[in-house]
Amino acid sequence: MKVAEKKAWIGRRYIIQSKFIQKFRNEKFLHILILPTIIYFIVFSYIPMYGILVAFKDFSFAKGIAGSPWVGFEYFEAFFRSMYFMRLIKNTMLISFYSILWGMPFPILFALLLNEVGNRQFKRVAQTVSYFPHFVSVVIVVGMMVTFLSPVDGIINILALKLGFEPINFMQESKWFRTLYIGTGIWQDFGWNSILYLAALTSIPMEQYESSKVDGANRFQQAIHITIPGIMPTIIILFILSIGKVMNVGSTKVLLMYSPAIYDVADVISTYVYRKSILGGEMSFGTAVSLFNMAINFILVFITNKISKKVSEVSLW
Amino acid sequence: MVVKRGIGDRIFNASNIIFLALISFITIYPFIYVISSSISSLDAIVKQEIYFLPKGINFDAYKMAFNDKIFLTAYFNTIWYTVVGTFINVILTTSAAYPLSRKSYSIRSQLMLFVAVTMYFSGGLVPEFILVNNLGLYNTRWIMVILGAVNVYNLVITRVFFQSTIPEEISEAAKIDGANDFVIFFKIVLPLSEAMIAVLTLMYAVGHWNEFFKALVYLSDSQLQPMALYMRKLLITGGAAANEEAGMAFYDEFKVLAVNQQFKFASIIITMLPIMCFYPFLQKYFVKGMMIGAVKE
Repeated sequence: MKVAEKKAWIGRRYIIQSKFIQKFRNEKFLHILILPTIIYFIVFSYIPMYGILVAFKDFSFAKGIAGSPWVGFEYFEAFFRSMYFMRLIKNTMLISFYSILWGMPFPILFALLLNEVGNRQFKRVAQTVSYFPHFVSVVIVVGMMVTFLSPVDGIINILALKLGFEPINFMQESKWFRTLYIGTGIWQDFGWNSILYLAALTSIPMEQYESSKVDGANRFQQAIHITIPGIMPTIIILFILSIGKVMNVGSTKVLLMYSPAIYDVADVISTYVYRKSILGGEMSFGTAVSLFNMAINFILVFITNKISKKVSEVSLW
Repeated sequence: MVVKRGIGDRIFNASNIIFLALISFITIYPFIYVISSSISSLDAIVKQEIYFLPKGINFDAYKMAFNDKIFLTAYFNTIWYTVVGTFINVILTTSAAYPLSRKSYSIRSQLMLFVAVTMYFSGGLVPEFILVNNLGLYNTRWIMVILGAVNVYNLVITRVFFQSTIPEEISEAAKIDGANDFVIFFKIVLPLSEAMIAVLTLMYAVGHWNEFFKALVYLSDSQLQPMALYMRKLLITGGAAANEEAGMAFYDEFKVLAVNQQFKFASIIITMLPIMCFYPFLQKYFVKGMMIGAVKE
């Protein structure tokens, strides 16, 4: 009895196994379709993960990753001890923090006001216009900024001069950096970022507005008691997700905007890594700094994803 | 929702429209200023008279740009990277998304994990730089189109699209009729996915057109550099150098400045031209792409 059962079990497992093998063979065209992408990810995502070892070695191109000698946490310690450590973290976090603080209200306000517009044509034109800067490259945005703010022939300084102010060399003054970085960021993306809020607004049931109208609510009261609570889940989730990115300021825009004169406020972790490793050749040190940054980013994203899942479950039901 | 209720409502509506119109104007104003300045007469630029509409007319700056060899090389490079890169992107993304969208695919969940891992973990800049050097791709055209050939995020939204528009039953039925997965993919899946392909093409193409950092890190040969690097040199790091010769023709210092500035403005417009031309007609596809992604999140 027992032997028979065992035999049957083995037999069943064998059938399942051979079925799987047969199925796997039958799927050869699916394998062929996905193969180039798999190779791509192995080469350009997984092999660089192995390359992280460089952070713990004294890397030189001549010796290669495997041949370079181990140094343990030497480069991490060097980074933690350097004067750059605190400055970079402070700059990175302040840019993120102020970007969230100033950047979040604009798309929400824009979506709310746009939602009150009855004229469809006007609405469409306003949307088309406001989304446009999102598609303009950072180089052009910063290039226009530099050109407009030029102390010699920029329109801003020409106007300032005509109004009796002294021309300001905006790009070379530390105190202007964050304002310009965040201000142009808002200009470029407030329209685009309003799309998600506009979508959330359309999902608020019409009946709520109609019944509140019967109760005598005016439009302002409707906005406070129906519209804003209706998009609150979206606001909260986007806020939480942006908190997950506070230590993750991209290098491109800062690289284009900064100069040694304003490193004290503009230099962030990603630009420091670029400068040290790609420009300065300190590959191992750069990798160590970037690995430290990636670890923090991962923890933050992990935590905030968990929270946002919980919040969205709560807010959905 | 907009029901005329009284004077308060009408005042609100009017001021709301005015406010939004003002916001839209501020948003678009920098571009208007650049266009106007690029086609105004040199005199108006020297006298700094342009604030909104162009004064006089003069296309010299555009002629100068199209006679500038380095400018044309960079422009051609950008077009090459965009066309070839986007082609590779779309082929790889769709062909990988299809197997991942079939629930019956035996190693689907393993491959999804394999792909998803790359979303959260990466080697970072330096290991990538070392790899590219070891592969001999530094300072080659190919690095611009191979690096980032598949975007995981786009792969995931394409997979979701295939799942919802091409049900399992369709591919199963085609298989019973004797079609293999290749035939199904090219003859059924792709023709049914025009909207998704449009969205992918646009998202990838804009990315290539605007790409800056990849070129900064991997292309030091000026013959290979795209517009982004040329524009950075022209607008940000070393203004006048790009067209010193043209400027030297004028001995008046203000004129040199004006010629340079107009050249910058014309270059900005030429760089943005494709996006400015196509954008109004394709905007709905961009929004669609954004929404597919958001639903997935």
